[in-house]
Amino acid sequence: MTKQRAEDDLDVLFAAARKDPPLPSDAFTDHMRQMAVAATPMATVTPDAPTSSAFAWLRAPWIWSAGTAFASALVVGVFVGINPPTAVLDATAQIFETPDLWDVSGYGAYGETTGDLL
Amino acid sequence: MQGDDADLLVAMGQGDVRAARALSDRLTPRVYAQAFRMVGRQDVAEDIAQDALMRLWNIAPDWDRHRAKVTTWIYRVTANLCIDYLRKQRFVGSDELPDVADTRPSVADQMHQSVRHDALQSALMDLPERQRQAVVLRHLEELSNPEIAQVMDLTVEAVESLVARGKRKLTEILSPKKAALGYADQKV
Repeated sequence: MTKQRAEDDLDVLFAAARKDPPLPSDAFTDHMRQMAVAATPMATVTPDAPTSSAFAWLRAPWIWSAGTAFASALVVGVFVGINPPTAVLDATAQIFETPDLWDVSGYGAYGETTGDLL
Repeated sequence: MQGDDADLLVAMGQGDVRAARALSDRLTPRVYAQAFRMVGRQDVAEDIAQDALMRLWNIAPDWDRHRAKVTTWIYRVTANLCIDYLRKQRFVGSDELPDVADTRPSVADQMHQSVRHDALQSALMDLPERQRQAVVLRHLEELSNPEIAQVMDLTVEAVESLVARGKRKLTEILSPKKAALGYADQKV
């Protein structure tokens, strides 16, 4: 016997005590939780995720590819309008029987018939 | 909510209420258990736990995670509050010191495990404060000796000595109760 035996017995007691520690009451635990919240500076709740509904549509997966395609079409359209390629002029001449895009735009026709504004 | 204690404390200091709740749920049982094992009274243990935790909440906005571990800090504060309480009680007089065994159900009414718990708690209350503190932190809260040295502001060697003496004393105290503890067939 012995010292080792006595220490072993003590270790059994310690192990049992660790397994079943003194627990605070539920009321005290709740109270401490409330105290912690009250002590939190600017007690604000952190949202789980951004929730602004006005911009929720921006999170749609297709919206960025659609936007990119629209912007590309706009740039190409402006470029063609200002500096039309030869192929476009040829096609215009063939279809409308004039190489001048201005003639098919409507502006020139309007000016000629009214005699004013343009 | 995930994260170590320091993460939660820093988040709490920045206004995160969920972190505050999570940290409170995590630390309250540990601080309460430490206090109860030191003072042996539920009402006093609650007061001490509340005091220690409020001190931690108040310094949350200024917490420096490199300064100390949260648990080391809170164990230290709790231990000091317990020592303060016990010293005040000594001046008040031993009549008001808690008698753990008497405030609990009789041995005959309890199951074996409960008897052992009470016997250990009662024996702990008979240890000198510093020995009790060292034994509780080492064997019940399972801190390492270097951590205990930080908590108690001692050298590691001093902690080892306190723990060894505390265990020897516990063995002496518990030896006459070996039958009640279920060690009748053994030499405790």
